[in-house]
Amino acid sequence: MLRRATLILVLLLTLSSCAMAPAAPTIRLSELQPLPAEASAQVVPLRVSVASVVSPRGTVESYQPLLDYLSARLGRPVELVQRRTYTETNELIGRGEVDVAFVCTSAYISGRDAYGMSLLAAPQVAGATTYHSLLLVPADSAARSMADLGGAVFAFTDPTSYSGRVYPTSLVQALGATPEQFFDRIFYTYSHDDAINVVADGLADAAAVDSLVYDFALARDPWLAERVRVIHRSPPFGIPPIVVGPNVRPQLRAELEAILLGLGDDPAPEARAALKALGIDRFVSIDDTIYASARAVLTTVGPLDP
Amino acid sequence: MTGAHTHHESTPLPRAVHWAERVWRVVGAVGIRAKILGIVLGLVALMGITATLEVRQILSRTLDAQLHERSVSVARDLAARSTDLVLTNDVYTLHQLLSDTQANNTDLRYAFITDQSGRVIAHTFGAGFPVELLDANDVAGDAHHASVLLTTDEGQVWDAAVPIFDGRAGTARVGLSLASLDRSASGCTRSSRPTAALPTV
Repeated sequence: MLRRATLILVLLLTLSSCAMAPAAPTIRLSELQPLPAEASAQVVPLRVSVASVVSPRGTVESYQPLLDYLSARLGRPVELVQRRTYTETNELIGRGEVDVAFVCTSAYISGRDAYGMSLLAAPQVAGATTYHSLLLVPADSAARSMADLGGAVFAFTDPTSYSGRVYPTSLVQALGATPEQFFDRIFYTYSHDDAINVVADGLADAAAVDSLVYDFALARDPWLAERVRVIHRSPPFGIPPIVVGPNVRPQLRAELEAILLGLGDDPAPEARAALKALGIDRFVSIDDTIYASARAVLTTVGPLDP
Repeated sequence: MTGAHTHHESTPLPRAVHWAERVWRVVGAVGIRAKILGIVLGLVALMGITATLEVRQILSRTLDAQLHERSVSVARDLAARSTDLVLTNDVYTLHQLLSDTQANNTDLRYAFITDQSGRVIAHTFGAGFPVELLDANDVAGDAHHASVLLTTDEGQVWDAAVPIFDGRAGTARVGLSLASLDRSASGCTRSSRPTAALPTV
């Protein structure tokens, strides 16, 4: 009797131990160790920076197909480096931390002198290599020009943006005031798509944005036209270019130039996808003289507080 | 013969029978009213204990579910707020964001951000990192979240992982300690003990 009971007990214990899942290892949260050091890359990636014309997320969505295409053509990884402001992007070029950069017009003009950056190519959109600064207000705003925006809340994009700060500042200066005197409040959105959004959402009474970004946003979201209105369009200015730093080898520069200029004629689906994601026709060669009109406005406006 | 008897007495089953016989001798000796009263008191005490244990179990389950949901919600909030910071490599602000998240959630044991290749960019552990934690949970880029109940040297922790920008900018991980749950359940048991014992008085 006793032997049978012992046998049943042993059997039950064996069965229960079989049914139990193996115990998960205990994680020792109090045992802190140095994080593993980064393994040095076998192949040095091409480092490309894109100025924050659109938000960091929008930049990845728009530029990643082009970077993938460049990587495939160059046979080496391409790393996207983003920073919050145009100035930080310029500094990356100046310090040689990136090889190529997509910069804003005024960032190129100042970066050419300060950091020795040089033009590589420029996008062509609807057959043109120019763009405009657009003054946007909410659709129900009564404002018809910059003169009507006295005492308004104004959203600048980046402190060094040509279309988002320099040009609207020139309009205010033409009215005999500074933006700080003219507007009730000023704030920065640090990207053009966010500037469009703050006007559409009524967080700002007006903003000035890059026409290329505005047209692209409108193509993605046609309802935007019912929420914002363009009350002023600037004369054409030289389009934001692609530049290389002063330390980039001439061979790499030539290789990049050939790839970018040939992109428009490449029938490969990856090439088409890259151009479509950017909303451009192709990349073309560009000359510094196209930036003469923007340079003249920058001189008139004078240095701006960062 | 004597050895066999000794062997029987030392085994649990005959010992239990022996004790049951002794208890029965005592119970059998009392009067019928005392027996009825004893049965009633026993049943009431049993119901009190059962109710307390059940309430404790329900409370534990509810709090556990809430902690689990909150771990996911905190991780998703962190993932949403850290996207631009990761993409622009703004490590300082990212660190501030993690510190603020921990300060605003007292049971948040840890929070950290890994980049696309799984490298830790920012964390709340100070100097050093518990490296075993890195592989303890993982989430696919197209997933809403992934949760794991971890056993740690500080007790159980709900670990939630949420992809940042569909995994293109990395992963946000948080760990919510279940210590508060244990405290609440024990507190509930302690407070309900007198209530459960009251009918027996």
